[in-house]
Amino acid sequence: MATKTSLRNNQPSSLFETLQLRLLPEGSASASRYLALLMILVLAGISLFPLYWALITSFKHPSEVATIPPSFVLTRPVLKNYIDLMTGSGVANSPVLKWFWNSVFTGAAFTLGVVLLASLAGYSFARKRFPGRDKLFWLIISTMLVPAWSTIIASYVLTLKLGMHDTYWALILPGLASPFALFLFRQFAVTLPDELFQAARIDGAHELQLWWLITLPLSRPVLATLAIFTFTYHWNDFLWPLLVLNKPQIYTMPVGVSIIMFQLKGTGPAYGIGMSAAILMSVLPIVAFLLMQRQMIQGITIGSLKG
Amino acid sequence: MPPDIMTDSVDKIGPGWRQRPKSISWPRLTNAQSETLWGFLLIAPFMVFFAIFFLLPYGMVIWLSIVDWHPRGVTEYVGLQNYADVIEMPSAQKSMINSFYYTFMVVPISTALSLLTAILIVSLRSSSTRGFFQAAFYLPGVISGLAVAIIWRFVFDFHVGVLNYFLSLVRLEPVNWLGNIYSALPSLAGMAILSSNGVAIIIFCAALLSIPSSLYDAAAVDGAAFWRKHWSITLPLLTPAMLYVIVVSTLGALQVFVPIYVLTRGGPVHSTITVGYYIYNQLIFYANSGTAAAAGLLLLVATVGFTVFQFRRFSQVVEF
Repeated sequence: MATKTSLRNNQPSSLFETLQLRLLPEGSASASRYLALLMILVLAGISLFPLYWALITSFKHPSEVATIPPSFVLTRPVLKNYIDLMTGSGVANSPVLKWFWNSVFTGAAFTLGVVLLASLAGYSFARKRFPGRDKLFWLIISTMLVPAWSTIIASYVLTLKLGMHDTYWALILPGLASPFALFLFRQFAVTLPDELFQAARIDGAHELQLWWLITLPLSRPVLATLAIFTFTYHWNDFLWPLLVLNKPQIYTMPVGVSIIMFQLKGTGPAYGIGMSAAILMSVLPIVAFLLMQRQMIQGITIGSLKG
Repeated sequence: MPPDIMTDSVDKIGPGWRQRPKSISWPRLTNAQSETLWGFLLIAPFMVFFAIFFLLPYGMVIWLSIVDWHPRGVTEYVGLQNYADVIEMPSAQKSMINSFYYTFMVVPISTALSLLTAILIVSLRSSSTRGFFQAAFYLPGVISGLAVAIIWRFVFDFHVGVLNYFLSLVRLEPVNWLGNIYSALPSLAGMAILSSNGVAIIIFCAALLSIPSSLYDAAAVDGAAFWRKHWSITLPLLTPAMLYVIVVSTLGALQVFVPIYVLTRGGPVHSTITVGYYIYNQLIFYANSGTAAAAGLLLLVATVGFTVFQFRRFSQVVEF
C-alpha cells in the first residue's frame, strides 16, 4: 500500500523504498518481483563473469594465475602479464605495439572510407529519385544475408591477384562498400524533413552542398554510431586478416594474439598473457560502447524494427 | 537592408543562371534528368567498390568451384568434380552435420534465453535501471570473438579452469570439456549461448517496449497469469523481431569459425569441425580453392533454405 501511494506522489519516503522503486519489476505479488530481480542479477552475473575473470586474471602475478582454488578477488595487482605480452617474452618476433598500431591505423582509414561512401550513397538512396533505385538498394541489402564463407574464397583469390596480400590495402579496400552502413545511414536520411532541402535548393545550393552542409551536420549522431560500429567491426575482425596477412610485421592485433596463443606452452603464464591480450583487445570497443551506449542501442534496433 | 540583398542576389544569379549552359554548351537537363544524374553520381563511389569486392566475387566463386585453380600454374576446368569431392569427403560430411547440430543447439536456446532476459529487463520500473541492464548484457558482445574464445579457453581448462573448480565444489568429477568427442561441440555451443545474446536482448527489449501497455492492462482485467499473458500477447506481437533474431543468429551459427580455430581446431577426431573450419582448412592448408568454393556455395544453398523456411514458418503465425 505504501509503495502505491509513493508511486502516485512520486516521492519515496525511505531509502529502502527508493531502492525498491528503482530496482524491482512491476507487478503485484511481492515475492515474484524479488524472484524476477534475483533472476536478472544472476543472468547478468553469468554474462559478465568471463570478462571480470579475464580482467582480474590479467592483473595477477603469473605465479598466481593458475592456482587451485582460484582466487576471485584481486589482492595485489601487477602489470607483469602486460609487460610480458609487450616485450614478447617467451614468443619470438611478436611486436605487439606494431600490431596495435596496424589495427588502429587501418581501422581509422577503413572507418573514414566506409562512412564517406555510405553517407554519399545513403543520401542519394534516401532523397534522390532515379530509375531502379529501390531494386538496387534491396539488392545491396540482400547481400547481408549471404554467408561470408560463400564468397570469401573468391575475395581471397581476387586480392591475391591484385597483389594486396600482406599490405594495408587488403585490410581497407574489400569492406569499404558496407551494406550495413548504407542501410543505417539511408534509414536515417529518409527521416530528414524535405523542407530543409527545398529551402537550400532555392538558395542555390547544389547537390554536394546539400550533402555536406545539410545532411552530414544533421546526421552527426548516426555518423558517430556508424563510425563506432565500423571501427569495432574492423578492430574485432579476425578471419579476413588471418587469411590475407602472412608477415608478422603487418599482423593486426587479433591475428598476432592468436599466433602468440598457439606458441605459448604451459598453462599458467600462457593464460596470464592470454587474458592480458584479451583485455587489451577489448579496451577500445568497451570504451567506445560506454561513451556511445544510447546511440549504439538505437542503431541496433533500426535494423530489426524499422526495416 | 533585406530587400537589397534580395534584388542583389536575384540580379547576380539571374543572368549567370541563363548563360552558364550556353557557354559550356552542355545539353540542358530537365529537373528529373538532373536528379537521375546526381542520384547515380552520388552512389557511384559506393557502387564501384561494391561491384569489385561484392558482385565480382559472386561470379568468381562459381568459376572457382568448377575449375582446379592454382596461384601459379594452369587452371583446369573440372566440371562438378569439386562438388563431388566435397560430398564424398568424410570430413566435409562431418562438418555439415556438426554445423547443423551446433545451430540447432545454439539458436533455439539463445533466442529463448534472450527473450526471457528481455522480458525481465522490460518489467523493471525505472528506465535508467533498464538501460543499465541492457548495457550489462550487451557489453560482452562488443569484444571480439577471439578475446571471448581466449577467455573461455581458460574457463574450460581441464586442470585449472573455473568450470571444473565449480564442479569440484559440488563434488562432481572434472570434465574434459574440449578434449572429449561428446562434450566438445556442446561446450562450444554453451559458450556461444552465454556470450552472444546482447544484440538479441536489445532488439527484444525495443520490441517489447513498443507493445502498448493497454493490452496487458486488459489481460490483467481478464485475470491472465504471467505465462498466459506473454503467450497470448507478447509472442504474437514479437514475431517480426523474433524472425530477425532467428535469421541473423542462424546465419551466424552456421558460419561459426573463431571459437573452433582458437579452442579445438576441429578436434578431437573431427568432433568439432564445422563448415567454416573445413573451408578454411581446404583453402589454407590444402591450397584447395575448388573444394573450398564448392563447400561455400553448398553452405549458401543451405542458408537460403533455412532463411526461406523461417520466413514461411513465421508468416503462417502472423500476417505481415
